[in-house]
Amino acid sequence: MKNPTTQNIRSIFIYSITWVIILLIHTATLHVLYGLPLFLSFIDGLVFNTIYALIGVALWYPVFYNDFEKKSILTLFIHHLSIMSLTLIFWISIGNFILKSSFNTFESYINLIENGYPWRIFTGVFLYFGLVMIYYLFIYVNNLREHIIQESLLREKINENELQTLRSQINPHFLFNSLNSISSLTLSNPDKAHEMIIKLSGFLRYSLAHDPNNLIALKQEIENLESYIAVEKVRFGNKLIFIKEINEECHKHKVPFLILQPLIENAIKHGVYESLEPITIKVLCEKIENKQIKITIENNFDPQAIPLKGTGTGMKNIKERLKIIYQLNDLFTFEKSKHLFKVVLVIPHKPAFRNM
Amino acid sequence: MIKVIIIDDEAPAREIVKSFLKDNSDVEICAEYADGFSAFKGIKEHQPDLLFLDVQMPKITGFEMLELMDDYPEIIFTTAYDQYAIKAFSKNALDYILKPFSRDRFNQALDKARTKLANKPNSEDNVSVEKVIDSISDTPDSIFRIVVKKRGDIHVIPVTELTYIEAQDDYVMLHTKTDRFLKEKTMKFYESHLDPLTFVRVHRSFIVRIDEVKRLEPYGKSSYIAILSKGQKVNVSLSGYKRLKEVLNF
Repeated sequence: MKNPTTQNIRSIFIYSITWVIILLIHTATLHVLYGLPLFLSFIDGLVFNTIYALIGVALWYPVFYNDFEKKSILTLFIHHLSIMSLTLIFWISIGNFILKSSFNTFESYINLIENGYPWRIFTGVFLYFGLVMIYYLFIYVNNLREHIIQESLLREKINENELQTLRSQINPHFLFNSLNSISSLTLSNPDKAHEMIIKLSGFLRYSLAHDPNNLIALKQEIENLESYIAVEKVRFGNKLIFIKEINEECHKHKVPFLILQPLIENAIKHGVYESLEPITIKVLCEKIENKQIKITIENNFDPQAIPLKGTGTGMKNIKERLKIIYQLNDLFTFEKSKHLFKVVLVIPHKPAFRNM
Repeated sequence: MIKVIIIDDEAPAREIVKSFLKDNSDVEICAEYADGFSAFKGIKEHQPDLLFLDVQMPKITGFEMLELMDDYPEIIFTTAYDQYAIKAFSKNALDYILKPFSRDRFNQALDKARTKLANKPNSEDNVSVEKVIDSISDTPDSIFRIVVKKRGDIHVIPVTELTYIEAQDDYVMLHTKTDRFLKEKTMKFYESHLDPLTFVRVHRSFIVRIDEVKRLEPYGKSSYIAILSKGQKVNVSLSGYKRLKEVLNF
């Protein structure tokens, strides 16, 4: 930590101004209370306060090396008492020496100097405590600020780790089934197989290439969805119908990477996988208040299909991710009616932390 | 002639099986199905010798479909990725092929089936299918649905509709609010695969849904009778009473 009085021009200026004010008070006190001529009062103040101001700069070091969090009160007290005594002796003797030798013809002034010891000591002690207190306060505030920064850095780290685990992974079931479809198409319809490989590669590349903690333009996220759905459509044919209505204004809005795909995957898993009838998956997006966008994903499902396993971990992960990234609750909601499952995401304008 | 049925919910997956079978003049494809419901009926109708069966399908899985059948043809399972199923297969040395599969691997499986069919027209081979199903049941996951058959119809009962289960020799009687179904499974299976905070084994012969229990009446020296919401009476043994007490905190 740098000396707070001299760390930059601004702090030197503030420190000097403070001493000028003390000098003025000093001059006024001598002039009004002790009837000393204005000129002499000023010179007295100038000499003594300049010396103290210089000593004060040096006093930072004993304060800095006497950390009140690490040393006992007694040690601190003894240290400061001795430093203060030295400071006072040095200060008063130098000051007196300069003034006495310069103004030895002014009898009344010499008298005042001779009798002014208690007053000087009192002022010196007061200034010493004032300075030391300010220095300690400075250190305290500085530590506190550093502590807060450290803590928020740590929290971001933790969040990042959480995000890593929450991010969706490529479902192996999907991957192997798609490869199987491709292997089938290579025999029956090589052109279509080729097209499917391109789509699948696009989806895989997108999933692997981006930093999962980054944000990405909605347009890209939607394009990726289309590759994903194109692959699923080869597997399920007309059983899967995909409709998107994306407002032009939303295209550039940044959204968390791969936030939509798991939801579509969910819709396919609980809609298409479990139904014999066609399932329509709709993705809608519009701009709403506060520069936010609202994304709605809905799908119908077979109400008679009973899930094999419990549901919800995928959706819980999305909810958690949004909460971590935007530090807001309730960005994710869903409702389930008799035939329709609907998920609504609200994506704020900016994430809570700048570095995302 | 080997009569074959292909069951898979994805058309391209059925397509490749068909195309690999085409070269085998001793094989006749009599039907293909995209779900377990229609496949179940189709198997009865066509009496095939061999099934190519996918695991993950709409409404009921391949395993659930097999659970409903009294005897099965030879089966070659086809699955893409299902940790439990693969474990179950490999433990019981039944043939299964992982998607995507090569023509060689496919022919190898088909040859195996061909040999089995030629040598011993069904019998103890079915045991291995049962073993696969059993080891699938060994998975620690809670179940959410039970597939049963009643007078030829297939019913999928959500566990949420179960009220109590009663042991009946080698079977269990599954009671719902409106109906009851016989199922070839053990009490032990349901005891370990139903949520222990919702269902309690109150007796050697009974598992009840806790919400269904209206009151308990002492019966004899050390046992009780539970009266359920529709007035049904269920025996409660001493250890069953203790378990109820633990879950309900009374």
